[in-house]
Amino acid sequence: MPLPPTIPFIGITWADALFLLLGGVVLGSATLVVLGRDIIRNGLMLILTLGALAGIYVVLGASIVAGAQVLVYIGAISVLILFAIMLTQSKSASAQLNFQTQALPAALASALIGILLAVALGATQWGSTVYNDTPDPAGTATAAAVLFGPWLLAFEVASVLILAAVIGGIYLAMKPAESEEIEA
Amino acid sequence: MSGEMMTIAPLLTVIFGAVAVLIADMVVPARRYTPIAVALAALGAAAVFITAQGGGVTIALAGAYVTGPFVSYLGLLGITVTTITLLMTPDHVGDRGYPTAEFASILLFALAGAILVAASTDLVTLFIGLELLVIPGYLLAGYAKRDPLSTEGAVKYFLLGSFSSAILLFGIVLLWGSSGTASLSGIAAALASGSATPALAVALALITTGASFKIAAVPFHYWTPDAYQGSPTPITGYLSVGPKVGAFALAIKLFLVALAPLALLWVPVVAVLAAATMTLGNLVALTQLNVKRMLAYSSIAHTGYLMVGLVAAGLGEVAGISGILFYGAAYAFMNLGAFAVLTAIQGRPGSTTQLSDLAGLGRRHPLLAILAAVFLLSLTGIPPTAGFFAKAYVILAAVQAGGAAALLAIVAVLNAAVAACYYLRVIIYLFMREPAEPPVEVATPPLLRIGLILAAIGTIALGLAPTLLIEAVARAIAP
Amino acid sequence: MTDTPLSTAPLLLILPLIGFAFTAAFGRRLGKRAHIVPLVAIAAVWVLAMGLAIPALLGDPALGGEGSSLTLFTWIASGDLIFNVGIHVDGLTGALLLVVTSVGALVHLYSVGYMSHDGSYWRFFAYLNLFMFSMLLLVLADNLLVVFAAWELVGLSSYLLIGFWYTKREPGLASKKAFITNRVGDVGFALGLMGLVAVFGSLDIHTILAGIEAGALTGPAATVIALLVFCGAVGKSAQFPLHVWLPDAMEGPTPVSALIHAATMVNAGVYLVARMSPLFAASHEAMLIVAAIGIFTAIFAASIAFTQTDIKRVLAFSTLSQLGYMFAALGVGAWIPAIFHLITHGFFKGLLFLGSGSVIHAVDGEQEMPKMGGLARKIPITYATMLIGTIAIAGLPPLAGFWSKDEILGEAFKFGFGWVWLVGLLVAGMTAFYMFRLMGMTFWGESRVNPAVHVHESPWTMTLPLVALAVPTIVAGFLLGFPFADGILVHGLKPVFAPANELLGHEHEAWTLFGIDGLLMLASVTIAAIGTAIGIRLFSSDHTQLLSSITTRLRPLYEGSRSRWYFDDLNDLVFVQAGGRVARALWWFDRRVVDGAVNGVGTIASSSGRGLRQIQTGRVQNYALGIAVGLIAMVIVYLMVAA
Repeated sequence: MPLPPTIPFIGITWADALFLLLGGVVLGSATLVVLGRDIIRNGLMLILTLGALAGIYVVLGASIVAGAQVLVYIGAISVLILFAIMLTQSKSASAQLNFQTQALPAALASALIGILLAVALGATQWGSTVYNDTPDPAGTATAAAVLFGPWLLAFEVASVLILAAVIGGIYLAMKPAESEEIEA
Repeated sequence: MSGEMMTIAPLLTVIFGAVAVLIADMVVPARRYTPIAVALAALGAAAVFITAQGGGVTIALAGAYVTGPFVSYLGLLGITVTTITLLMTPDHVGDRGYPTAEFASILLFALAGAILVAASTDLVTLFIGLELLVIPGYLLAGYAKRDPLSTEGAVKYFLLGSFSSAILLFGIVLLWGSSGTASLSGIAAALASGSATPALAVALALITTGASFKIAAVPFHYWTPDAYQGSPTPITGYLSVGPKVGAFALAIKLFLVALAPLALLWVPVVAVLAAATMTLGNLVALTQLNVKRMLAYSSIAHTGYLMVGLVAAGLGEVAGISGILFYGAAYAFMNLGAFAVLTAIQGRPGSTTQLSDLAGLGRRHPLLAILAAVFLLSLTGIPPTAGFFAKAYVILAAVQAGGAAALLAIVAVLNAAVAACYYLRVIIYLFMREPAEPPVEVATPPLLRIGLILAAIGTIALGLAPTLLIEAVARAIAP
Repeated sequence: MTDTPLSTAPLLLILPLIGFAFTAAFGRRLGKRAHIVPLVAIAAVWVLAMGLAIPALLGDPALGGEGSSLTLFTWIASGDLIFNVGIHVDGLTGALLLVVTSVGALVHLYSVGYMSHDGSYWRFFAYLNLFMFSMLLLVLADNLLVVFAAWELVGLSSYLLIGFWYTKREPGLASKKAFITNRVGDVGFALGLMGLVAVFGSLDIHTILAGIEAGALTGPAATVIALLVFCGAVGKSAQFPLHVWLPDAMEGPTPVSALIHAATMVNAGVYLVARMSPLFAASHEAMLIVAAIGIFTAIFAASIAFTQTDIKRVLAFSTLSQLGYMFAALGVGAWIPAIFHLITHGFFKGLLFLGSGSVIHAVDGEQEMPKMGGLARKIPITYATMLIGTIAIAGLPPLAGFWSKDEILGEAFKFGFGWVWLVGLLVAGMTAFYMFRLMGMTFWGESRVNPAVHVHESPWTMTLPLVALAVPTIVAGFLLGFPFADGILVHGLKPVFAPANELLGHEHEAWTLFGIDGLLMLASVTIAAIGTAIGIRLFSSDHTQLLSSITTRLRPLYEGSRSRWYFDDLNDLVFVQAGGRVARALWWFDRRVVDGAVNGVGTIASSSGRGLRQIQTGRVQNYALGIAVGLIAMVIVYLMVAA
């Protein structure tokens, strides 16, 4: 049985409904990442945030980005973060996070920025913009053509960026040799 | 070599150089100077490639990378900055037990980022170039990893830097969304025909905030004093020059190319930020007794002077851009030179950079003290040094732009007068105070000495014959 | 280049520079022979300068009149903005060269004796040559940018020389005060230069002056720019309210006081205004302000000189007062008398300062006049030469001061500035009085010198310059200024000031002995004689009772004058206290509110783990919040601007 084009009684399209739902999940879980007191749960909430974001990509038709999101962020990075948390937690220290007295001003500032952006972006007529160099989001073939065509430089240099960050990261994490003295 | 290869050859040379440094360190491990030599060779090769390009406009990689006189100028400036940094740093960090290979490698990556920023033609490459420029900065700030101060500064720099990058990225996305293209010139064309929507205003706000952070403009400068004080002294010198000049290249690309049609919107805001940046930087520098911290705050003030050029250019005065470019070069020489002097007086690990440490240096180490005086006079803006013409050009550009920019020029002149107080105070300590007891240990290893001389030559040559560089600058901004 | 009359002019700059570089590099090793190279350099400069100055003043066809220019090289060429470094010599330059090199050479010679006991002998000569280079660059340059650079350089050398004895506290403070006060004026000067660039697109003096003659700068713009340029002159020439640095500058060695702070550098402001005379003539208001500030400084400083007891301070305030005279003359449009007074004052004030140095030398470093007295017979050469200087500055004929002062007062009156004339006349009387007070307290009456001190005349290197300066002090006025209003100087300088006089509409009238001019001269001589008589009467021998009864009766005035009308206290209150508080408040703000973390850094334990923890729960969030608040402000501002 085919679905009706809009949800009965509410009157919005299925895609919009799905977007709202996933957007809500993203916002809600992101808030919990920030507010939760148990760091492991915060990590799990982060995975949920990233997963819902992948869902949004699917709704927008960017299936390759969604796939990459799931593979890289959920499959690799989030798991890495959780590992890191578990490995660095010592048994004596509590897993509870300390909260700063600044929470209220921070919340106010975030809310204010949110409202300002929402109002400004909502008041803008987006329909008139013509998008020239946006590829058809559908298949791997077009994505690859674009990635290795006009965006080749950006794509390749991103790897250089990661290389630089890895080199620096390894340097900072490396244990100093015994002979090295400590700067006073 | 094909034309396209030739175009991106400088960038590739620098990136391969960064890798080669690490390979060299692997082959002959734990040598202090081998990585530096490799890195310098790579820089030399890159400089040769840039010169060989001859300053003509060439396009590579489907228009994503376009070189020309502007890129050549900034590329050579970046190579100069990197060279002097490479010369002044190894002994300082080496004596404190840190390797030089990773330092040299990371520094080359940052240079690649700067070149990419200058050569990029679209928002995506521009942003990635910027990150490639600043992420090495975070790592370098924490290079003295066993020093809590260095680590603290680096962590703060990293956290706030990421925050500001996110803000900038959001702004870039909104800019793309409003204009429908990522190409910088395409954005300018789209904006010129469209109207200023609320979304564009927000995009401008986000971009201004993000860019202000990268150039360390008030009120987004909070990270500077911490990051600068914590880092090893020569690296502080680099951080106060390299990323700043690179970020100004970004500002030129974003504000003067892509956002030029909206100049009426951002010029007043940038002008106010410039005035605040100069004034706060100078007034706070006035109260500092630690020279390194004083230079950190004064570098904020220099950001303000550079922004004066941005304002003038935004009002359509081409001299504003040439002012920024000249200022960038002059500032590179004189500020790196000043930090090289500080590096020299920190001959022993653990020594500080208090004003009193400099007392009587003129008697014990006259040559070093004279070099210090040259750099400080140049930073003050006293002729015939590079700093004088740098200030003169941006201020004259602002005067010629007229209107509110002329007011800004007045603020800049007043600030220059304030700045004289704290720079000259150091000179007084150098020459008119009894030497500190016990005397500070000065170490000028050969490389540092070469770096000092290079910086001094640049500072004086640009002061005696500014015409040399001005011609290059004029070529760089010629349409 | 060889066939221009200026082919030797670059040497005027090169020689002192060589002297400076050589002495700075090798002086320490030369010890007591360090003076030879600088001295020879300056002597050669003097010879060369005379070769230029005398023809220029005598109206030599090549150097007089419009003067002669020589472009050395192009310093900056950026688009349409071109700065050439060049030399220009005309009558005005000649007048300045005359004073600068003559006094300069004699002061170099004098310093050989005066500084002979100083450990940093070589450093002193290096600085002196640096100063000579800067000062000559200032008067020779044909581009205001170069003038500005030289302006800063003379400031720098003055700063170095005031603080020459930097190990003592007062010279250090005085040098800083001089430098900072000058910077205040320099900011105005710099802004004025920018204004000139904006109007004329050039800083070439002749381009600017030609533009003004053509009427390119008039009305309020002319006033503003002229006054900004004047700000620089006020600072350098220590006019009210930026006069505070000059008296303190007396902490420097006496030859420095004579050379820089009496005869040459402080005249730079007068020179600048004279050089830019059409700029000032283009604005009636600016001229009025120049005249008002000048004449006010003249009487203000003279009133302070009444009560000072330090011999050099009296002379310092006298210098202020005489400089005020010159500015008053410039302000009323009496250009030539102003430069005339600059020349004569350079000679006799240089003489008086060197004489005071000789006195101080004689009494073993004592500068307080109440501890002198009765020195006339013990140091006769110093006494005789200083007496000549005093008569000259008092304005008694036929010595130099009379001629120039009389011309200033006369022209002020004839150009319709009755008030300038009246105040000037009063100041002339006051000058005569306080100068004879100085002579009386120092040389006459009973000796109050510490008996342990062996009073001795100075060596020949010091007395010879005194005698040498006494000569022009006696004859310069007559030589340059006779016949009245038609002398050598008038001929030499008339072409220089012709454009300005044209703008002002000043006519040159014939001088009449049995008319208004004779009467004016009689008035100024009379009042000088009265001042002299009172001074001699009160201070020729001890009239302690009479003096103390006068001071008791006029206590508020006396105290005010003694404390220099409280100007230093006011400055301290406004700038040091209040300004310092503002700077501290900003610093505090940045420290506590914005940047609080770093104070905590000292307490961070050595382990970086704890340091990191400190950061995580620490202030980096504050910074982030600061950025967020800034962002909000930015969004609101942009939305408002866009709307």
